[in-house]
Amino acid sequence: MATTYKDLIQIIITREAGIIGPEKTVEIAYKAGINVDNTGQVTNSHLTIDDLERLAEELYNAYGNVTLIGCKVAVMRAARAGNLELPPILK
Amino acid sequence: MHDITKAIEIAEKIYWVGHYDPETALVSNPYLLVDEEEAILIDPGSVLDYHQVSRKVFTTVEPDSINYIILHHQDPDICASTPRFEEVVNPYRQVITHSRAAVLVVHYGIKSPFYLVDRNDWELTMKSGRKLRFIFTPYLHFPGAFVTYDEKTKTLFTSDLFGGFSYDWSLYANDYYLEAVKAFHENYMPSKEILSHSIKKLRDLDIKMIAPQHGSIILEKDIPRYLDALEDLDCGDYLLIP
Ligand SMILES: [Fe+2]
Ligand SMILES: [Fe+2]
Repeated sequence: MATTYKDLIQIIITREAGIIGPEKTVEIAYKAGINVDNTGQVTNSHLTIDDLERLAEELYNAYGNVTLIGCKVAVMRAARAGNLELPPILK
Repeated sequence: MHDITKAIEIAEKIYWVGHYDPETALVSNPYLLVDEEEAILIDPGSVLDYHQVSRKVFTTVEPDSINYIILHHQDPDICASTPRFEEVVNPYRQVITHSRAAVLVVHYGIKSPFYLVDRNDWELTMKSGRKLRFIFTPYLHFPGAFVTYDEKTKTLFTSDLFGGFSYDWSLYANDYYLEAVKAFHENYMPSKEILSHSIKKLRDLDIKMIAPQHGSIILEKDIPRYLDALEDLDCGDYLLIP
């Protein structure tokens, strides 16, 4: 299965549960238009690079740069494997 | 709940003496190991935390009982408060570190004589006969990095290894701590090959508790899951950033 933007967003949601905690992660995701169920899974059926960018911006604005460096390496690696372009905030 | 404003005993006569600042994602954890009349301060930490850490240390032991300070590597979040501690602890104390770190930590103004782990068979025998073993974990994340294993309590003091980035800090690891550990290791550890090499070595030890210098303490039941995850982690970004 090819990597999708939803996969990249899932990496961030899972990761941020460890960095800012699961409740705050779900709140931030919701602000970015991303729904997360109570097992931490993203439930939107289709997500784009714009959704990814919005999520990263919301995280940065609310909790600062550590939230981005904490997920960036994993996201870059998955994006490279799936040949997906990343928004500048995640490069 | 633990009262984190006080020293907390995490194993028999081993104390967490850190300071939690909710504004930081990188909480530092100094520890104090007490053995009969002798004590060892492990990774004393930043000057920013000196006031809180020293209060916890000196309400637990007499300053004169501190015969050793372990510095697992040369970073400021580990070493910077050492000259302040040197002013008050046992005048005959030694700083335990690796030769590669010793040449650097003098730049903090550290004056103590060194006990170099790589020149002392990677172990220390305390006055009581209690043994600490030092395990070389090169390039994680310093070329002279090592971790300390206390044979008596089977506690492994891992310095930056098993550390995590977390605003959601707790003294003991919660269900989500592994993700905080991955976040930190992906940024601070150089490569999967180097990380898995040392994790394999740690598997030879009978470990009851992992006490890292950042983040949360990992208890025995969770240790296999953390070893597996780190042995397999694709860390480092030198191939990802042009
Ligand atoms: Fe470090
Ligand atoms: Fe550190």
